[in-house]
Amino acid sequence: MSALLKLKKINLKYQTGKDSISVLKNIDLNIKKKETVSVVGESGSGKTSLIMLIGGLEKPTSGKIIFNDQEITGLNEDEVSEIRKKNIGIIFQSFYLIPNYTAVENVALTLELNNFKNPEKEAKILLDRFGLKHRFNNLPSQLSGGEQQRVAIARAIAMKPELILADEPTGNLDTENSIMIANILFKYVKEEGSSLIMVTHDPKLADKAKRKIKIKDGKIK
Amino acid sequence: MEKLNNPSEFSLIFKYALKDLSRNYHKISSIIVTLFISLFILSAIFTIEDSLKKELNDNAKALLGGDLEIDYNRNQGNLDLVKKVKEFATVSQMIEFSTMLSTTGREKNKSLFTRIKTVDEKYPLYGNVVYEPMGAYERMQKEPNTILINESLSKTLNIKINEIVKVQDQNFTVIGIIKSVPDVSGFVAFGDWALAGKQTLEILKLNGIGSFLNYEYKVKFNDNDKPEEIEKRIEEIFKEDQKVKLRYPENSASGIKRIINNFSQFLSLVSISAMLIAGIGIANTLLSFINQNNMSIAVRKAVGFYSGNIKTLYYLQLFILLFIITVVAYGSSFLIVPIADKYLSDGLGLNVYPVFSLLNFLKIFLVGLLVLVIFSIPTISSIDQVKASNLFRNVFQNLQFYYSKRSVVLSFVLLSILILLFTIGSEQPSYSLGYFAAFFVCLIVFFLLSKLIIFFLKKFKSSSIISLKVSIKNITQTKSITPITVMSLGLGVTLLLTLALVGTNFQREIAKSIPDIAPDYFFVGIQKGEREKFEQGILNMDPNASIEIVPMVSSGIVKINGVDPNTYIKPDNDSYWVIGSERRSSWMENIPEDNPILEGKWWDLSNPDQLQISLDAKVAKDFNIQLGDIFTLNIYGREIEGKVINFREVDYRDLSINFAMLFNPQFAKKNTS
Repeated sequence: MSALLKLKKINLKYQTGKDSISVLKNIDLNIKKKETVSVVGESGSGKTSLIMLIGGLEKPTSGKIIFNDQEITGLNEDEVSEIRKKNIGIIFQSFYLIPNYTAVENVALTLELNNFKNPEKEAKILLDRFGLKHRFNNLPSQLSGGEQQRVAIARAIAMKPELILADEPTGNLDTENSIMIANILFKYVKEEGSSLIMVTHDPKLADKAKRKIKIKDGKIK
Repeated sequence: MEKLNNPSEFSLIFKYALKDLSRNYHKISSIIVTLFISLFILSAIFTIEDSLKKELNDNAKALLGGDLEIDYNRNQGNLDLVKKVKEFATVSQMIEFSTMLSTTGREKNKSLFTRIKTVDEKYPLYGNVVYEPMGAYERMQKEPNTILINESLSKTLNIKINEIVKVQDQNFTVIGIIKSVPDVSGFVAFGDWALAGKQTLEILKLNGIGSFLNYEYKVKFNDNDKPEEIEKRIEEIFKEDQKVKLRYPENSASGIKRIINNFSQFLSLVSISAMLIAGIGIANTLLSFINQNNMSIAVRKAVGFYSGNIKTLYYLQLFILLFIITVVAYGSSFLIVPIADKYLSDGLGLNVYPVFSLLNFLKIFLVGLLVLVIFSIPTISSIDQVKASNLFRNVFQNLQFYYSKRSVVLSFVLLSILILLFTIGSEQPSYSLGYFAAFFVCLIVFFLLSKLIIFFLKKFKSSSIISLKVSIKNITQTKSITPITVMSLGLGVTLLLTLALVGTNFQREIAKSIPDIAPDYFFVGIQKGEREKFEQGILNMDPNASIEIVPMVSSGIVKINGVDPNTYIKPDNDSYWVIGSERRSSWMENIPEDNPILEGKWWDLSNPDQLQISLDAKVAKDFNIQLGDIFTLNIYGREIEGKVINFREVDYRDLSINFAMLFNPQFAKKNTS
């Protein structure tokens, strides 16, 4: 399988006043197409910073990130947004659905942005697959945590991205919902052939990925 | 605002703007209400102004009183020329004068300075006189010693129909009340006035005071005649007559139009000030709204929206909102017109109707848009501060106003356009600019005041009261809303206080100052032979009355140093009135107490045969007159040359008897008797 993502000598430092905190140190990482990777490590080790860099939501202090043979580190915010819009789906620990949009509208948002012909219809098909047929027109406040995360996953995968970034996708869920979400996510990745990079503290969930990366003090161990 | 990539992207953003607005409008209700009130006031001003101007234009002939007006001002004019006009058009003559009108037969009779208009049976050539009771107007034309008074006069002196009033030494029966006359453009529209038949002049023997009567001839063309041709014919007839002024319908009601323009300019400036103050509040509300949507903005960025597109989304929401509010506000302003109509029809006899004007609508929308954009630029620009990465950290910092160089320049340009919009085309552009300058000076003063408050509060060591500590911390924290709150509150209070002060001072000036310094009565046109009788009459009524009697002669400046006086001054100059028409001049032995000499000497007694002129110093300055300059005056039809020998300081506001020109008495007595 060819490489989807390459990180070369990535460093990330945060400046706090006169002090500089080194979050990621000389990270080299290759992710192949259709590969599933879990990123584990202690709190503050740099896991979330790593997927923020991969998603183009932060810029590294130094180093290169190459996505689909295109270096994204030198691109401006809009150009990175364009790549993210078409190729990267992001799942957050706290779901982050738009509060005044219904479940269908939350999913249709990314589809409309990618010029899908019938975004609402596609969104409904997807939500139906995730067992949310009865929740199409519910607002996020009317959904349970598990349902919200299923909508969030549907939103992230709706435009069939090559890469899915998931930050603690089951972190705010109970065991039952965690298992269900994990199953949905991995089933989808397998069916659609997307790559998945997932940050998690949950060892069982981490074990579901083909490759497990451990980060400690900003370095891959 | 950043450019959009393609039309389909714009339609997507437009769709989401509509969706978001329909679901979030209640969160910005204060913006909606503020904008509506501001735009409604502005719409009402524009709509009433426009309706009124349209009414004035539509009724231009009625307002002028004819197709053309021949105005001889203080002269009866050349009746031969007027007679020539009568050969091919209908001419109505009217004479106006001011005099005291008194009640009779009461325990305490009251008098009022009243403008009386005598009209012939052809009056009015256009429009209608509205009066009551029926037939009163016709009676006035036929029966001598009858008069119609207006409602204001009737109310002020509490005069009832069939009551006898005194005008000079003649009794008149009030046979009706006038509601309105059509030709308000030349005649007084407000105040106390009366209508009388043309025979009144003979009854009052007023022809003798010639120069105090205002002569006008209104002309109505025959239906089949071409107005342009008749106008040319009349112009030809009067082309040699220097004393006449021909006025046309398009120039009618210029005084009323000026009042309307001034008043609407004043109200517009007050309303735009209120809008600018409200704009500060709008900016705050919008910032709070965007802060509430902080997470949604971050999510949009995370799924691939450009920052520019999100900003466009918010600008579009404001644009849609503004459009709807403008439509409602402009539409609602039409409801105000019937209220205005009630007052205007009572006062001016004009009926105003709502007139839709696309230009006004666009102007109101543009004003709203400019205010909205100016104040939302720093707010919506703050969207750039929202990072999608916040979604990973679960931390959303409160956004602050964001000023980039580009946004500051854009705000400045838009503000300049807004100011120009209210300045250009206004009646007094310099006043408008001054007003805006004062507004922004106040803005700076209140900004500095807010910094001062923060500085002192930071020094303040608060006690152990937690709520006080937190309050002070909130006020003094970096990027707090204190400056904006102080500025908007300060400007609002300043505006209210200014309006209150203007109103109070105006009333005080009228109610207090003038009666202190002004005479109780002015009497004009007392003939030489009646002087003693008049003085005795006054002293019989009040033995302690102080009477000042001055001689007067009507004189017009024909030339200055041998050339046309119009070459010395422009018509828009404050002192143009001196040559605008014939003026009354006087003569006196001694320097008037309130007219100190600023330059030159009082009369040269050794030269009694030379007309010597004492001139108002301001008039001299405006005309660039030097001591020794020669005026050619027209006095009683004779052209007499006089030498300017001194300049006096004249303050007409003291309401004592003042003259621009005084003559040496030795010469004047000899030549005016």
